[in-house]
Parts: sequence; C-alpha cells; structure tokens
Amino acid sequence: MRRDINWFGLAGGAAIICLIFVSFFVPWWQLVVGDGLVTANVSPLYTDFNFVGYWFTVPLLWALNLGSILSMAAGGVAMLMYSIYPGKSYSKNLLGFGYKKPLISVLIFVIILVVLTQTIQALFSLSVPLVGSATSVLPETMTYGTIVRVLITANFQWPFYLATVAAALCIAGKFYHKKLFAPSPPATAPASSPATVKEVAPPAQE
Amino acid sequence: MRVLGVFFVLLNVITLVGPVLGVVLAYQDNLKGMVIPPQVENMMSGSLFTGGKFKLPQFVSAAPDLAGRTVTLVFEFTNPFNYDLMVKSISADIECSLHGFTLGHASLIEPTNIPAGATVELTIRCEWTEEAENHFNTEHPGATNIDANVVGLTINVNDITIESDEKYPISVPKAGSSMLPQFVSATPDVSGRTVTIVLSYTNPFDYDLMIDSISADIQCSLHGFTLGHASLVQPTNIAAGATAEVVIRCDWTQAAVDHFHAEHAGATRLAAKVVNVTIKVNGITVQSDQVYPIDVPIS
Repeated sequence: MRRDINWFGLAGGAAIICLIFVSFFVPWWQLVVGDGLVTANVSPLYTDFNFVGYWFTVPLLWALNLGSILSMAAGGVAMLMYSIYPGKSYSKNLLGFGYKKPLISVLIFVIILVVLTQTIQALFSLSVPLVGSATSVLPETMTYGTIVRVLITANFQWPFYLATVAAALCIAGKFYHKKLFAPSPPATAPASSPATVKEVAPPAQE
Repeated sequence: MRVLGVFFVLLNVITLVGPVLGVVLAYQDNLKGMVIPPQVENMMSGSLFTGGKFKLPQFVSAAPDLAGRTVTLVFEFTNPFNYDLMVKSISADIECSLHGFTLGHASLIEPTNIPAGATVELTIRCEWTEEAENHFNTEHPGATNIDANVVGLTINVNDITIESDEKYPISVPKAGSSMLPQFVSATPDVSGRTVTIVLSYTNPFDYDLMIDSISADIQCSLHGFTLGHASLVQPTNIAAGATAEVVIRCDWTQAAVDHFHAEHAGATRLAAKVVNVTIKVNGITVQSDQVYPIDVPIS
C-alpha cells in the first residue's frame, strides 16, 4: 500500500533544521564598518557583534534568538512529522503550526532590518545600507568637529536565502497538502451497469 | 485535535516568552545589562584602549630628498586600541604659511600596520609642483627654509576616513637649497689667469654624497660680463652630515682679461658673481638660479 508523503513539506522541514544549525556559524545579514573594525552578525537565531576586536552579544537579543531557535526547531520537527504522516488526524495541526515559522521569521527579520536602518538614518543621519556599501559621515557632535567618513557594507548571507527557500518549500507543502487530499470528483457510473458504481471514499482530512 | 491546537499555542508562547523572562530574571538587579552587556561597559571604561585616547598623527620632521624636489614628512601615530590598525592612506596639502599658496600634495608612501598599543612613524612624501618652485624663487628668494602648513589631512584607517581641519606647522627646506654650497674664498694663481674658488658644502643627509661635478659661470657684477667658466677640480666625497670644502677653478678668458684692463683698470679686486651653478651629486644634477657674490683678486 502506497503511503503519501508531502515531499515539499519534508524538504521544508529539513531545510528548517539545517537552517538552525548553519545560523550558528553564518549570519543571515552582516554589517561591516570599515574593513572589520565593527561587525554585526545578525539573524533571528544568533546575533553577535564585534567592536574593535571585542566580540559580544546582547542578552536581550540572545533571549529572543533562543526563543526563535526553539520555535523554529519545533516548527521544523512538526513539518517533518507532518510530511511523513500527512494523512493522520493530527497532521493538519502539525502543518498549521510548522509551515508558517520560516515565513514569519524571514518577514519579521526583513521588517526589523528595514525599520532599524531607517531609524538610524533618521536619528543619526547615518546611511546604513541594507545591501551594498555606503560611505557615511558621522555626526560632528560625535567627532568633535573632525569629519569622519565610514565605509559601511551590508549584505544578506546565504542562510537568509536558505530561510527564504525553506519558507517557500513550507508554503508549497501547504498547497501540496491541499492537492494531495483534494476531494476526488465523483465517479460517473456507466449507465449500462449501475451495479458497478462504488461509493466514493470520503476525502482525507485537510 | 483541539488539545493539540492549544498545545501549539502554548508552545509558541513559551518559546518566545520563556527565554526573555529568564533573561529578565537573571538581570533583575541590573536591567540595563540586558541591553548593554558588562563587556561593553568594560570596553568603554578602558579595556578597549591600551592607554590614552585616539589622537590624529603628530608631526615629527620634514626632510628633503637629494634633489630637493620632494620632501618627506614623518608623522607619529599611536594606536590606542587593543586591536591592530591598518593605515591605508594619508593625504594632505602643503601650503606656504605666509601666502597660503599650495606647494604640493603629500601622500602616504605605503600602507602601514600599527599593532595594538604601538606607536609608529608614518612617512608621507610631497613632490613640489612647478608652481611651488616658482613661488620659492619669486616670493622667498634666498631663503633656505620655508614655513609651511600641512592642511587637509585625510587619513584612512581600516577604511574609516578621518578628515582633520587642523593645521600642522612645518619648516620645509626650499627646493634645491640643501644642495647648494656656500662661498668661502677666491684665490688667483701667479699668472693671474686662473682663480681658484673654495666652496663649503654641508651634506644634510644620513648617507655619503659624491660630488661628481660642479660647473658655473663667473660674471662681473658691475657689467654682467662673463669672465670665465668654472668647474670642479676633482670629484669629492662628503660623509653623511659632514661639511667639506669643494674647490672649483676658473680660467679667465682673453675677453675677461681685456675687460679687466678696459673697465677695471688699476683695480686689484673685482666684485663678481657665480651664476648658472650646476652640481651633479650621486648622479643627480641640480641646477640653481642662485647667485653667489664673490670677491676676486685680479692682477
């Protein structure tokens, strides 16, 4: 007997788990001031900073990152479990819980980055690019009359794109689930042999 | 299924709120520490710096090159951080402090790494423009040094560019002035046809100089008449920092002898000047438009 597997969901779940691991080592977005004098490695799962050779993390961000890790891990496991047993009665709950996690992470992450860069621009007149390089002049109130130009480079790293792929796979899994368990069209019984008409099985739970 | 739904909602809440609550409890005595960790506070209070504050490079010295066409400026720069810095470029303009005239543009010779806490000398070099040399000759004739300012200092440290509006007063040797000898004496020979001129030459460099040749014309100061051509008697080596006498010899031309008799009859001494001085030192030829007044005995 063939067992249905939601391959999109399975790939999405695996991508989430993979994403959690790689995010410890490679950030989703990296901001570099100068040629490494100041570095910010930012992701929803792990964030740290380097200021003139000193690495540190902010406890509040660490807590939020830990929450994201737990949430993403739960979502990934839920997606994997659902994908292997998509026809079970609890599968819809697993899918509903898991598929949104990477999407929400990506969306909130991008929104926070945009808001943060715009806020810095508004408060300090410091142009922080979301992607690419920009030379910004530090406010003279900070530099005591000296003009200080800083080269700021920011780029999304490959785990961000992996997160986007994971989100896309999970959404595809959601749609594939609908297709997988779409109600079959009622079979039209041949007029000549009404006795061969079978009862159509009820559709699996979506 | 409802139970599972509630479980997932609770899981969402716990995973997000739990860690934040934990950190809040851990930092309840120091809530600021949740945002500004102790490492950052330690950094700002001193561990970031090895001592002292960040200061722009300080001027140390200016030295001309052999031909006096470029000047090498030495600045001292201290890295106050516990982190190696790379000075990638320095650029500045040098202007005459008296006239505000831009004499040339200086730039760092090569990128320099400055280890954490170390002080290093940064060497930047400026080549005088043609306009600068004209300025030296027209506005500062006879001067051997010119007061100048290093302005518009721009320093690139680890791709952070600092532009200073500070002026660094420096004293720069005038182009070619360091290469020019000073007149000491002039002595005629017994025939009265040749004059031996002794020049004093100071080697301003920290390496030996070999004067290969000197040539010059000698003119009557009163009439501008060319009396003869002088040249170095023999190549002379001058040790680093030493002062030596250099001898050049001039044979009076017949026209010069006639000039003495016609224009300076009865005179025993003649006010003359050494002009068109060309000196070849260590293979580099320096031409000077400086005029050396000399007193020449005639017979």
